[in-house]
This record gives sequence, C-alpha cells and structure tokens, in this order.
Amino acid sequence: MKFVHAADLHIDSPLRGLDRYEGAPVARLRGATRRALENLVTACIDEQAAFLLLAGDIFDGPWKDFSTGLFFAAQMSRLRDAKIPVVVVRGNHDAASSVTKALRLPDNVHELSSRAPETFEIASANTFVHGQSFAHRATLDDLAAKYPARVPGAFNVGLLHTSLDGRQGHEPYAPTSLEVLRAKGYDYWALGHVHQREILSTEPYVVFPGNLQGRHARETGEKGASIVTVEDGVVRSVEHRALDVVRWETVEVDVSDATDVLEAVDRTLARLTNVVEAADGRVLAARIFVRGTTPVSSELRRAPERFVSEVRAAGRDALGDDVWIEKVLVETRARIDVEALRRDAGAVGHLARKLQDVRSDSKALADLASECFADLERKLPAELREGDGALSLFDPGKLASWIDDVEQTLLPRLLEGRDV
Amino acid sequence: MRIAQLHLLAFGPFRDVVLDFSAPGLHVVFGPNEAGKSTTLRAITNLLFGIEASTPDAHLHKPSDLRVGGVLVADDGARISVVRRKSTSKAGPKSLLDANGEPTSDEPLLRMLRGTTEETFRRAFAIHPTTLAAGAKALLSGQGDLGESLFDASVGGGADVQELLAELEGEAGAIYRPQGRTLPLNDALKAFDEAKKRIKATQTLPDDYSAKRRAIEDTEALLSKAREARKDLVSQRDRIERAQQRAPLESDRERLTHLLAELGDVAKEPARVRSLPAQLQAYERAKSELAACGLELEGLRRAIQEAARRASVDASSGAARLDARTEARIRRRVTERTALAQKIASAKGELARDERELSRRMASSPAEASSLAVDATALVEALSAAREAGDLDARHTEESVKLSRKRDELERSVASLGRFEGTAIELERLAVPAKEAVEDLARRAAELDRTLARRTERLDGLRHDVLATERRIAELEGEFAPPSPDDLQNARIARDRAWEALRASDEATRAKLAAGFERTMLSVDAVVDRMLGDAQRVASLASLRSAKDALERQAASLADEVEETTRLRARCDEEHAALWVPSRVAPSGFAEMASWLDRRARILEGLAAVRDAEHALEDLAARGASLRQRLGAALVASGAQRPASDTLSDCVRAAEARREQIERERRAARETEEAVAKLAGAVEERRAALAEDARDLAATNEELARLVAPFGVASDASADEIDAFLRAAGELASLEEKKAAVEARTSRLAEEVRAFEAHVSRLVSELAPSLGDLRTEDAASELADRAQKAEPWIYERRAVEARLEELGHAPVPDDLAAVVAHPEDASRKLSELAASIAAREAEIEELQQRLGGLRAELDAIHARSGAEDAALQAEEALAKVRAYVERYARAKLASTLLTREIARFREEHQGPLLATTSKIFHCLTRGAFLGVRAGFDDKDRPSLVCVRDGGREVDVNGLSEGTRDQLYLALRLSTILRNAEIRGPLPFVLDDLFVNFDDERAAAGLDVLAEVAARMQVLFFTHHAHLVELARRTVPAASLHVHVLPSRADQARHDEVRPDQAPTSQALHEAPRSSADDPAPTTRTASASRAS
Repeated sequence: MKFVHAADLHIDSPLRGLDRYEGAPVARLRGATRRALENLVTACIDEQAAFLLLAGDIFDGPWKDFSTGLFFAAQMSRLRDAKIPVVVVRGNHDAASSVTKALRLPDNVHELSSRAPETFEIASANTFVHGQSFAHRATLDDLAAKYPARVPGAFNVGLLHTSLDGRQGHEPYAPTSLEVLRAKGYDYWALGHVHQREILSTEPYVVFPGNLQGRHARETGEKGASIVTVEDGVVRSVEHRALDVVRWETVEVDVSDATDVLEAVDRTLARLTNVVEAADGRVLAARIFVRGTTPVSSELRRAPERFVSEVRAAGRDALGDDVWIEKVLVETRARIDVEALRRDAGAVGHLARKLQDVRSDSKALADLASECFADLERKLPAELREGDGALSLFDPGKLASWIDDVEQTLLPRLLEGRDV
Repeated sequence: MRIAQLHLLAFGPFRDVVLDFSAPGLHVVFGPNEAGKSTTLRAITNLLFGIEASTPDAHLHKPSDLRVGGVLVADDGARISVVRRKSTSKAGPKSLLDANGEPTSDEPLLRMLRGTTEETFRRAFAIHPTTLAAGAKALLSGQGDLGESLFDASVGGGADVQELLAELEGEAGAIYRPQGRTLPLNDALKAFDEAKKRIKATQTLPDDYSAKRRAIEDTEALLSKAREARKDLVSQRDRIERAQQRAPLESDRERLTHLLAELGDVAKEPARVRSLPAQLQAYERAKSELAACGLELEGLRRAIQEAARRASVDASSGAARLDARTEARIRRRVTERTALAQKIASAKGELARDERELSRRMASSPAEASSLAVDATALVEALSAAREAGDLDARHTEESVKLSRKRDELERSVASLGRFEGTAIELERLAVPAKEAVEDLARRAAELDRTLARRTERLDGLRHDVLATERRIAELEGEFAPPSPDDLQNARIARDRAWEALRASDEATRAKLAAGFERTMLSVDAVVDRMLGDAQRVASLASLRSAKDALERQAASLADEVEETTRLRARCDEEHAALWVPSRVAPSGFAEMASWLDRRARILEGLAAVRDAEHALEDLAARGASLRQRLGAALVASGAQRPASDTLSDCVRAAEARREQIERERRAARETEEAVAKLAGAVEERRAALAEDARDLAATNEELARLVAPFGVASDASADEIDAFLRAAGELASLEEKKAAVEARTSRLAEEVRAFEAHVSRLVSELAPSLGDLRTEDAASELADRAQKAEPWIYERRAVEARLEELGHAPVPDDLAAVVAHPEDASRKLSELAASIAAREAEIEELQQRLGGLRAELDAIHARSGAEDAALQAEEALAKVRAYVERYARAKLASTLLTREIARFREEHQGPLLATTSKIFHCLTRGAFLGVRAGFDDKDRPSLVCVRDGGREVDVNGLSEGTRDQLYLALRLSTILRNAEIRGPLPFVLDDLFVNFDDERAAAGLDVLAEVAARMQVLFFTHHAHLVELARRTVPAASLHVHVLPSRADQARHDEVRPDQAPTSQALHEAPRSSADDPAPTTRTASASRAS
C-alpha cells in the first residue's frame, strides 16, 4: 500500500519578493501553488495511492477569493474519480480562512472534527486516521495529547497541524513533543505547519513533508509531498517527491579574485547556471549573495543597481525564462583594514570610529532613523512591515546592516579616491 | 618619525643604493626620467607598510629577493634599522627583518607610525599635482562648503569628498523626496495600491458564492413544483383523450363476437379446417389410382407364367428361385476351378527340376576336413593365460633395476644414521630401547624442569620480598624510630623513683628534687606522646616484622623443594643412560634419541621393502617358465611343431598362427553343409504346396455341384452350360419384383382413403355434428366453407383488441364515459386543460432561464478569477518598493553620516586650520594676501574669504587661477601640519609638486616647504633640474640637501664594479651649495660620488 502525505498548500498565496524586471519570466510564475496542487493530485493517481493526507493550511488565512476553494474542490473531484479518499485537518490558516467555511467538498474528502479528536476509518486500506482540526487560528493546546489510543490490528496514522516543540519562523501552535506522539503507538505521524521538510523520527515515522511550493527566498530547495510505502502494516519507506513548479534557491558567489565588474558578472552567471541545471526544468527564483574581499568591491558598491541589471541581463541571455533573479545582494568587502583604520587619528579614521559607534548605539541609530526616514516611513504600506522579508526603517538590526554597507562604501572611497 | 636613511638593497632597477635623509632641512631628490623616481617613492611606502602582492618593482630582482631597508628615527630620538622583504601571504613568513636579516617584530615600527594606515599615509601625507589642481578647481566652482573643503583637504581628496557627497544625495533624491510626485518609489507605491484594489475587484467573497448557491436551490425547488403541476394536468388530458378513442372500439369488438358465435365451433378453431380443401383433392386422386393398379397386376401375373416355363422352373414354387447371391457364388466357383487346374500343372514341372539339382549336389559333397577333428581347446586356454600374464620378460627386467636402486638407498640411510656402524641387517638386530620408554622419560624430565623453574622463580620473588620488607623495617626504625614498650617502662621506673625520692625528701631538698621529678614526669609523657603519635608506625613495624618472618619461613621451605626437584631430574638422566646400555649406543638428549629411533624405524621399513621386491622378482621368473611349457605342449597336441625359440612372446606368436589356421578350415566346411540343407528344404516345400492345391480343386468341384444341384443342372456341367441357366433364371426374378411393387402401392393408396374418411368424420363430430349425415366429400366442403368466413372476422377482432390494449387495460370509468358520451362537454374540458398546461409551461420556461443565468454566474466563479494574478502583481510592486527603500536608505544614511562628520570636522579644526592656512597663504603669495578667514557665500553657506594686503576681501571666485592653486596648497599644507600635530610628524613626501607653477610661485612654495621641514621631514621628489636649481637659489644651504638618483648607466657601472668592493652601503650624494652653478647635476653627482 502507498499513501501520500502533504501539508501547507497555501493555494493562491502569491510568491513574494519578486521585483518584476525586463525579461523576467512572469508567465511561468503565475498560479504556481495551483500547479503544484495539480502535480500532487496527479502523483496520487499515478502512484495508485490508497489515500491522501493533508495536514492543514490548505488555504492562506487572509485570502478571500472563493475561486481558490472551488479550484481545490475540483482537484479533490479528480481524486474522487480515481477512488482515492482524502483526510484533512484544518490548520491555523484554514481556521482563519473564510473560504474554508463556505466550501463544500466532494464526498471522498473527510475533514476531521475541530471539536474533539476524531478517528476516521479507511476500510479499503485497513487504516485508521486520528486527528483534530484547528477550531481557531491560535490553538495553543496540546491537541495530540488527547488523540485516542491506536486501533489494534490495523495501520494507525496521526494527522496533526503543529509547531511541535517550537520551530523557528513558525507560530507555536498546538505545541506537543515527540514523546507524546511516540506514546500514542501510531504507525505514522503526518504533521503539517512547518514549511521545512523534516523527518523527526523513524520509529515511528514522524514527518513534516514541508510545504508544497516554496513562496519566498527563505523557502528554498525541493518542495513537495511524502510518498509513504507500507508493507504488512509497517512503513517501508518515506520518499520525498518534488512537486513544486518554481524552485527557490540562495546562490552564493565568491568574487574575491575578480579583477573587474564583468568578471564578477561572469562568476555570478556560472554559479547561477549550475543551480538552474539542478532545478530540473523548473523556473528558478534565485537570491544571489555576492561576497568576498575584492578589489572590485568599491566599484560594485558604488553602483550596485548597474551590477544587478548586468547580472539579470546576462541571466536572461544565457538561461532564458528558466530563472528569475529575485535579488542580488552585494556584500563584498574592500581590501582595507578597517580595524587598523579605526585606530588612525586622521579624518577618515574618525569617520570609521564614528560609524562603529553609531552602529552599536541603539539610541544613536534611532535618532539617525528619525532624522533620515521619519517622512518616508509614514508613506510606506503596512504590508512592507509584515511577514517574511519584513522591512522597517526603524529596525535596529536593519539599520546596523545598512551602516555596515555605508562603511564599506564610504571608507574605501575616501581612502582610495575616485579612480581606484 | 623621520626616515634617516633609505637603503635600496634590491628594488626596482636599484641594487645597494643608499639615500641619507638624516640631516634636518628640506631634502630634494632629483631623478631624471627613467632614473626610478617613482620606484623610490614606492620604496618609501613599501618600507613602512610592506611590499604589495602585485608589486611592479620585481622586474630586475625576483619577487622573493626584493629588499628595501632604512633607518627610522622616532620623535624621542630612538632609532631602528629595518629591512623589508616581500611577504607571500598574511600567514607567510614575516616581511620585516632586522639589520642582520633576521625576522623581527613590527611593533616598534607601528608605534612610530602611530596608527597611520598605508592608505592614509599615501593620501594625507602626500600632495600630487593632480589632486592639487582638482582641489583648487573645486574651490572655484563653489562645490561644497568650507567644511567639505577642509575635510577633503584633510583626507587628501582633491574634491573627492564633495563629489561623493553629491553622488549619494543625487541617488537618494532620485528615488524619493518628500515633495516629489513622479519618483520611482512613489510609482511603485501607487502600483501596489492599484494591485490591491484589483484583488478586491476581481475576487468573489465566499458569502457571495453561498448566496448564489441558495438562489439556485430556491429556483430549483420552484421549477420542480411547476413541473409536478404540469404533469398532473397532462395526465388529466390524456385520460379524456383515451376515453374518447376507446368507446367505438369496444362496440366493434362486441359486433364481431356475435358474428363468430353464429358459425359455431369452427370459428373457435379455423386452423384445424384450413387444410381440408387440399386434403379433399388428394383423396379423390387416390381413389382413381387404386383402380389403375388392379389392371397392371393382372398383366404381370401372365408374363411370369411364360418366363418360368422357359427356365424349366415351376413358377408356383418359390424354392428353386435363384437369388443374386447364389448366382455370384456359382460364377466365382467356376472361375476358381479353372485357375486351380492351371496352377497345379505348372507346379509339377518346377518340382521335377529341383529334385534333379538336389541329387546332383548330394553326389558331389566333399569328404570331411581333417582339421575338423582336431581339439583346439588346450591351445586357446594356454594363449589366454599367456595374454593375461602380459609381458613378463619386460616386467622382470624393470623390477630388477628397481630392486638394485632400493638396495643402494638403504645402504646410504644406514651410513648416515650416526651412532652406529654396520649393515642394515645388523642395525635390525640391534637391541635398542622402546621409543615409548624414552618418550615417557622425556615427559617426566620436562615436567621436572618446569616445576624447578617455577619454584626457583617463586623463591627469588620471596627472597626479594624479604629484602623489601627488611628495607621498610629499616626505614621505619631509622633515626626516628618510635619508642618501644621497654623505653616506656624505663621512663616510668625513673619517674617512680623520683617520686619516691620527692616524697621522702625534706623542705631543703624538695625544690631541687621537684625539678628532677618534673623532668622524669615530662620524659614519661614524652614517651607516651610519641608512642601515641607513632601508633601507626608501631603497628606498621609490628606487621612488617611478622610478615618478614612468614616470608623467610616460606623461602626456606621452597628451597628444600627446589633441592628435591633437582635430585629427581638427575635421576631421569641416569635411567635414560641405563636404557641404552644393551644397544651399545651412546645416548645424548631425549629429543635427539627419540628422533634417532624414528630414523632407525624408517630404515627398517626400507629393509622390509627390499625383501618384498626380491620375492616378487622370483615369482615373475617362475610364472614365465610355466607359461612357456604350457604353450609348447598345446601346440604339439594340436598337430603343430614346438617353436624353435624359448622366449614366451615367440611361443605366443606360434600358438596364435596355429589357432587361426584351424578356425579358417572349420568355417569352409560349415558353409557347404548349409547350402545342401537349404535346397532339400525347398523341394519339400514344393511337394507340400502341390498337394494343397489338389485338395482345393476337389473342394471347389464339390461346392459347385452342391450349388447347381437344386436347379437340375448336372454336377459336371461345363462353364457355358451353367452360364445359359443363370441368364434365364435372372429374367424370371425381374418380373416377380415388378409384381410385388404394384401390390405394395395398391395397399398404401387404400390406407390413405380410409384415413381421410376417418379425419372428416372426427371433425364433423367435434365441430359441426349437424353435418353427420352428409357424404365425406360434402361434409368436408361445408366445413371448409365455414372456416373461410370466420377468419377475416377473427383478424378484425384481434386488431380491435390490440388497439384497446394500447389505450390501456383499464376500461373507461363511468365518470369519463359520461363525459365522452357528450362530445361537446369533452372538447370544452380538453381546451380548458390545454390552456392550464400552456400556462405551466411558460412558468417552467421562465424558471429554467433564471436557473441558467444563476448557474452561469456560479460557473464564472469556478473559472480563474484573476485575483491571484493581482495578488502576484501586488507582491511584485511591494518587492519593488522594498528594493527602492533599501537603496534609498543606504544612500541617505551614507550622505547624512558623511555630512555630520564633515560638520564635526569643521567645528573642531576650523580655527587652527584657518590660522595656519592664512600664514602659509601669506608666504606663498609673497605678502600679496594677508591671509584667509571664514565667511559665508551668497547661499549663506560657510566659505573661505581671502584678505588682500590692505584688507580688501575677495572670495575664491575673485582669485586668479595661480592664486587659487596657492590657496588650495596652503589649505593642504595646513591640514598636513594639523595631522602632524595630532598624530606626531611623519615624513611628508611630495612628487613634482610645482610643475605647473611659474618660477616665482615655485620659489615661494619651496620656501614654505623649507619652513615646513622645520616641523616635519619633507622629501621633495622631482625630475625637473630647474626645480633643483630653484631650490638651491631659494632655500638657505644649511636647510637644503639634494640627492641625485643614479641613471641607468650609472647603476649598470655600479653593478659591474660592485663584486670587487666591500658590500657596505654607499652614500650617494650630498650636494654642496657651492656647486650650484653646475648645470649637469647628474654627471657631477656621479663624479663626486667617486671622488668621495
């Protein structure tokens, strides 16, 4: 018997942080989460899965468009036609979603109760699925603790949306521990909520399959579902199947030995080409970090936008619409000894000291931000300060990193002159 | 810090060139083109900060050989002498060496530099003509304010600072300004808002969807109700229409039923009568045929009478009838008889021929061969025995050789055995001890050896332990041995005596005795204290002593055991020697003697093998002789001669030849005998066959007679007679057959007639008894007539009934019957119903349309709404906003922080800087300007104001280009002096500074530099000879030192002579003022160098 375990579909949640530029592959990114779901359904049918488990966050909480719900229902109907039952628990996003409440799903989909733990039998597979949906967005109880005991003589699965004992970047919902899960004696724990794939245990298998489609630069690597093979009531294998249509990756480029900007572009393109090949035909959304202590640092930092444009143009020419360069972060360092410079009694030495002082003084940072950004901050939309990649002009960490950039821009210029 | 000496050991084109900068005053270094002025400038920086990785100065020397040295003097007079080499990497070997070429710490050097980095030294402690021009131009164009100018001058920028600040502000302003409307950031924000609006506009809220679904469900309910109502009305209409159709049909059915009843039971079963007319015709035909058959029969009877007569047969008797089978038998027997007679005649001839041949063969049969009588059995057996034995002669020779080899081998073994001399047979007779006895003794000896070793080892251990225990006791007893109980006893006795004395004493002596008693008492206490204190030691001692005794006892006992074991071991050796006495073999060790015994046993085995081989050889010879004897005897017995040779193989060959000869003769005799027997057999067979054929002929004649006898034919009738009889009998038989056929037909026809009459009579009695009196033909016609009438009426009634069935089984109910009865009522009712149905259908149509519209709206939601695309666009716009904000933030922060720093710098340094600048500017302009002060420009920014001699003030724009250059130079020099004040003086290196100055201004500049040189070391590099001259004219001789770099040619010459000179540094030149009139400093320098 095989079954499929997926979670965190977040259908129609848009890919974030993609600043459109000339020649960017816009069309290929459209509807990525929907196409990933289609891939999931196709995989279930191709694998002749006995059932599909969805461990919550099918929808995105604030998203209100009902066509999203209908799309999901249509995909579930494909599974009904293939006689594949689906068992679902609601996650925090689903609990907050107005789409979930109004949606009617085909009869092959069973949503586990949110009032109390429920056990659902899939007689055709001699399997019992235990689980409980989120009733509210912020569910802080240990739901798993109250799940029923295993049914003897059958395959038992726990379906749970949880942050377990806490995962970075994820709200601490339905907290529980591996010990609690193990104590239930189930054969497989199908978890959801954490977007990074993780197999926490193999006896029994406790699995976060990760989300179905990466949606921003911090959700990198293969995304998809787990295909679980069971023989004689024992899990034989848990295979990760990549189902995403857009692949996010972080690309680090070392330009230490580049002697001019064009060489830095070439190095970047070479690395990028490798990563695009690894994406296996998918569109790659790449965040590029350009690093290294290099003589071209001053030039790169003097006009980073020009460098970004050149990298994007080179990417477009060489790789066509296989890549979307999300961001190019120039983090190179000049070949000057800033430490020594701070001991220098001259004007530049003083400036170096001053920058260091400001960076480590939260009050000075706040004053500086007020002086520079008070007006702009008011005009920025609230969305900019939310979610992944949130940006606040008054964030001390962000300000400090900008001061770093300022240091690497100003000091070499003042020491080396304009013609370096 | 100053550079007292620069030593170009191996650098650029130089080898071992020394520049001495130790004297106070202005140092001018003159290097004509290609002389390596720039290289020397780099050498200074490299000496202080290290040689850069990609140095351009490694063209003559290998990078690893590059060396530049110097003597550096700190402000407090401390001197260090260092050499710099190229470092391969940060982690590589140190690049700084001391005067002896050993790596040294760079700490002292760093202290002298006071934290100045290489970049700062290059820019802040140097003035290049290009930066001077750019800085001056910046002053003119009013770029930047006073602060920016001061800051720029301080970092040695040449307007870099102003440019950088403008770039940063430009970038920030291009992205966002508070009042700007069409800037990129604002556009991105707008795009984001629009995308959000588009999401709202395109999305369908779940509540809307639910409302639409509800509307569809309501409409579906209404539609279903309307359809129900229509169905009811249609049903009413249909019932009336059906009743209208049914009424006339029912009356038709009644009429037909009545008509059929009149025809009686024939109408019930017309099918039974349907074939009657055809049957009637057949009946009439059969009756007429019957009559014709009677006439034919009569004719045939007459023809038979006639034929019987001709065949001489009585027509009335059936016994003599000739059937086909009998005729065939008669004909076959006649044929057989003829064939047999011919066969017998031919066989008799062949028999006579064979009998003649046989008698001829019997007469010529040869006499029996003599060899047939010989008995060859003995010969064959003897041959077989000889073959089984094989080649005995060869084997005998082979075995003889082997035996002699074995004998040699045995003798060699005996010779090499040792401890014995003699033959193998003597060795065999030797009385040696049994090997088991020797091995048993060896085992005992080994066991005793092991025991002895073990015991000796233990004894050594025990003796060692005793010694160790003795050492421990000695340690504990030593100098600080604890008091023994005897010591305590002695002290107590002394005390008690003193006490007794004290008690017995009088007043006079008491005091003295008391002191004595006190001493003894204290002595007892001391002993007890020490005993208590050393209780542990005492206990240890006691325990050690007891342990030592025990060990010594064990050692003594063990020594006895060792002695006993040694004795037993010696006895083993004696027993061993005794064992060997009878053999007179002198024994050595156990193992060796056991091995000797083994080797002897192997020799005796060899001896036995030799004896076996000798016996086998004798057997072989005996067997050969016996076989020869046997073969000779057998040959003689078989009639042949005994062979001449006496070897076994010759005897065998003769016997073989004789045996083959006997066999050949016997085979020929056997073949002749077989041919005669075969011919005699053939004669016998022929005779038997002839007798058989004669018997068959007799039987055939007999059978033929039996077959023809009943027909009156003679038994010996010829074949022709028999044939004539057979043909007449055949004709009679044919006529009889025809007659029988006609009789059979007559009987069948009569049966048909009877059957039809019976059939008609049954039909009449069952279907129409009233016709009973009629003739068969008439009754049949009447029945057929009635059936013909009934059939159309039956079909018609069936059609009516089918139509009625279509209209339903239910008969028209009474109420409907009443309605249908009045056609006007019925049609009115029908039109009312039609109107109602039409109204319902219109309603249904309207509801269906409404439902279609609602469903289409719902389907539109099913399709992609476009909201998710709008969301993606919103994210894209937001990403753009983020990118712009980050760019803006960086540029804005950089410009703000730089501006702050510039302002601070101005506030801190403006006063002293302007004061110094004023003084220098005054000097540079030879008093044309009194100085400068801080003022404001027309934009109210702080700016420089120059004050002319006489007090008139002009701003920078009002200065001539040359004056402006001087002003900027004054500014730079003042910042350099300020830097020197702040961090202490460093060498101030100038590279062809005055190339663009006219002589007057250059002279003024050199004057100022000479003054600056009083405060810090000034090294002025130039490749212009006239500047050297100008310096010599302007600067007092005591304050000026001119150095000339050697030209390439000089350097080459220097290199050539170098190997013969001492490797000491060579001071190049110190130019005296007196030679100022020499127009060619280079040549003069070289000659001066040689002169010195």
